[in-house]
Amino acid sequence: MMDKSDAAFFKRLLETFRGEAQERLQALSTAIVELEKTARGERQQALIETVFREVHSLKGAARAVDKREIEQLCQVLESVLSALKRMTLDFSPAIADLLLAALDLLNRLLDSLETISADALNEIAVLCKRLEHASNGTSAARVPPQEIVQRAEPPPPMPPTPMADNKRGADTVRVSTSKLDSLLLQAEGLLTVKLTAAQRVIDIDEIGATVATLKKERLKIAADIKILQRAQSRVSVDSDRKDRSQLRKLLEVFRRENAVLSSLDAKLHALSRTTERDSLAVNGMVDNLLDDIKKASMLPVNSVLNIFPKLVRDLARASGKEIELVLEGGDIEIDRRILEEIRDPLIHLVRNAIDHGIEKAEQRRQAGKPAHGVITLAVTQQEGDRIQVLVGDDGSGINRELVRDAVRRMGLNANEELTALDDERLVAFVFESGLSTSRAITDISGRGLGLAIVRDKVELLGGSVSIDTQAQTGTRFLLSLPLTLATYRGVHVLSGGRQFVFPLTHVDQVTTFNRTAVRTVQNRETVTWKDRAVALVRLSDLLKLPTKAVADENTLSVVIGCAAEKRIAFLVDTVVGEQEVLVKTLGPQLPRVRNITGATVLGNGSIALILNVVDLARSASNSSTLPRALRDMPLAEQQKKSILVAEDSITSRMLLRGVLEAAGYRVVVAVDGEDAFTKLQADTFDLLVSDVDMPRMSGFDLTARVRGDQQLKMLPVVLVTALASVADRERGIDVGASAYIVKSNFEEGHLLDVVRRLL
Amino acid sequence: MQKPPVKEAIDWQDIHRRIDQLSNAIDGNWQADPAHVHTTLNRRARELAVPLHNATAAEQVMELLEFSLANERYGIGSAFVREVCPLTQFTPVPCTPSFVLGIINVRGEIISVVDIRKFFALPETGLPDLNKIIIVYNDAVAPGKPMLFGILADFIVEVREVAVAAIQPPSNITGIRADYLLGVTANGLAVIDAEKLLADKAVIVDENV
Repeated sequence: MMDKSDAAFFKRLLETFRGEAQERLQALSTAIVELEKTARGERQQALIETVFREVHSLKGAARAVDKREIEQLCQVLESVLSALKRMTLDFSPAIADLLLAALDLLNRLLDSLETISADALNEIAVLCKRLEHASNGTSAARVPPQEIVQRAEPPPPMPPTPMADNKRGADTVRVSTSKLDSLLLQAEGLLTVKLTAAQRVIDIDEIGATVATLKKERLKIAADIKILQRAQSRVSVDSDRKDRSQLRKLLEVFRRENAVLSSLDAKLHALSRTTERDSLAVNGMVDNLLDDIKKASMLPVNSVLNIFPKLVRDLARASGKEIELVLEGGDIEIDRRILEEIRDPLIHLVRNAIDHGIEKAEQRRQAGKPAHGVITLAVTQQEGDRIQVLVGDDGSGINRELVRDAVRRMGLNANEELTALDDERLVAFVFESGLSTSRAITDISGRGLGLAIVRDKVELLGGSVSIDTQAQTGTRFLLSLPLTLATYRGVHVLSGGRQFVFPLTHVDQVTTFNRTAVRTVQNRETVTWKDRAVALVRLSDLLKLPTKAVADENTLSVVIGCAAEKRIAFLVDTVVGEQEVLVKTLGPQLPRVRNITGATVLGNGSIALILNVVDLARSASNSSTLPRALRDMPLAEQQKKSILVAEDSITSRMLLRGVLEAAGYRVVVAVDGEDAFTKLQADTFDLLVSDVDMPRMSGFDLTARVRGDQQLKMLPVVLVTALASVADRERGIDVGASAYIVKSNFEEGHLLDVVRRLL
Repeated sequence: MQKPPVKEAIDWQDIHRRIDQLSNAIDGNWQADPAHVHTTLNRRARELAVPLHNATAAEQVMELLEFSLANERYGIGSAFVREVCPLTQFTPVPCTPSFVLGIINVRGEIISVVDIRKFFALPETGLPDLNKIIIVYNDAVAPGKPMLFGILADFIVEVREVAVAAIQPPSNITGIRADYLLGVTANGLAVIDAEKLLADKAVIVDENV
């Protein structure tokens, strides 16, 4: 039986092998596709040599992890390649097909390394046979290939030839991506430190301002004090001794306090300065560190572009078209995470170009174009730390009439408007979800979801995508992307009591409207913005958040969001401000949540959710229920009864709050007894609901203090507790609780009954 | 009774011999006797060796993290537990099923939290005291893409070992929950099938508009 740690070690070993093998297969497929295009000669020999070496290394690696099947396949591949090397076999398209088929099989084997299925074993056997036949296929092989195949020993190691790569060994190291990710995560965590440091400066300045005001007020009465002092020294001896000493004491206290205030002022001033300096230092250090770590996780674009030669070749064959692929700028380095994310969009665009863009050879000849189409994938560095990826084809271009038809079919826009649409805006419709100009759904594309997803992905990365298409000359997609997964700016808002961030790329304007500016058009509420009627929706309605009363003021805070051509006015409770955000995913369990892109950690450590404006726009137009008219919005806050909930468990706190708010009460929460008592004094409440077992001050003590307070003694108190014993209940009644609810048989209805009776 | 040690004359000859031997060894002239090396290494190996524990099925144990949830005791294989952390703050995520409590920030990492009472469709009774989050993970299913989320718990009881044979199929437990249990121990501990839960598509929220 294999020991647990052995098993884990072997698993790690397999993982390493998988990584290495994937790299080698990638290099192999690029080289083989290139081989196909290369004429006989030195270059061809060099390429064959490369391929041979890669296969040989792969074989060695497979043997090290005891994957005999892969080793065997490599062995047979080697014999074919060695025949090619010796020129006893000619490189032909048939050979290329065989080699690529072997790579495909190897790739699939890597997916399930742990157990190789019987089917796969069968495939290996079949492929080995075919490869053996191929290497045997030559007439006068001086070395019978079988010998190579059957030889137990691997062929002698290749004579060392100088390789350019060898020199690089010294100044580069291999670091696992998980380690890099962990470093990046920690560095990003420092961003919170940076934001917190800035917040501290503001906090200290606020205290400073309070002290300064106090000092100023003291100055105003300085003259009066002087008079009093003089009067005190002049008071005649026969006056009351007691009075005199009291006044002296008072003046002494006053003098001392003034001194303290002055020193406090100076100290705060100094503290503010040093904190500001620290904040600036932290700022610089964190920014630099993040920058460097991001640079450390950059990879050449080639690591993604490498998949295309084979992909294009296979797809072109399948669709019976002749296509040449041009790759440019593969050396440019960008953030690994961005690379991973744009892989699928790029594949999609290339597939589109092959399926819809490039015409069949016959058609092309008729149009006077060369028979083979060209697909270009060009990466160029742009100003401002951005790159541009061009995915272009020289095909027939996007047919505007087809787009018009498709738009009409989908009912995306009214007829008359559509004809008036200028070219640019019409073409932009291809990014709409569900729009496909292709009448038939082929294997390659045509489902009409693709371009919408491409745009979503690119915009999520902080990029943008544009399209330029001309009849007969072709279509060019231009993706503009940041070099690193940058922090981006967003508008921080509050809605339904929760924190959200609108990415600035999807915000046209943050503005306010007067309530009277809201018009109802076709049962929908709209506001006029830049001479356009824009639908007004409440963010909390779209997100199905528990409804909260709208403040009674007449000004509505609105964020004008943009999603492609759509403009939507999102009504929020408060606009907090614009700030730097770092997008994080919601974790592997929540890969895609409707309306929410990700999350960001704010300066105070709390989390704000980042909104997906594209989704929201869609949700807004899909929502079947009419949004509630603003006029019908619930009563203003002050007319409601207010309840303070004191509870240390966050889940219970949220639950109690939810139940009471849903019943129409205004609810304020406190995390323990001490906190509750402070809040009771600062605000007026109609009822207190308190847990018993809390840190700092228990519910019993809190109740006793409430009963002992002049202002609060009449306040009804409901104790909610896990303590169910009679003694506890009696103690609760003793300290003056109005009602006592036991947690284990808690029921919403019961609580509300009790609350209603007491109010 | 021990005799008082007898003072012996110092054997200077022996001391000089040993010093010579040592300085020789330090200078690198010392050659170990191969046979001696062999026996020494063998002896050491025997001393260090731990007898192979040939566990039979009956003896196989499983380390469980025992926790309390809605007045019931659950166990989950500790091999799938990354860490346990207190629940101090969480952010609900709109547009997710009710079993998703929300997300939490664990040292800069965003982790989603599942309320398994809701996921198991258990009747909701009482006011919970959910204060702990058990972060479970499994990276064996999809290489490079580990599944990971937090499970809500009232409190953690202990970590203990349970004989695998002692986990009986859940007979008196029905409903959705039964599908996610490995079984129940003699003292009523419901053992969650963490591997299944972590690989389950039903837990994942992957939704387009």
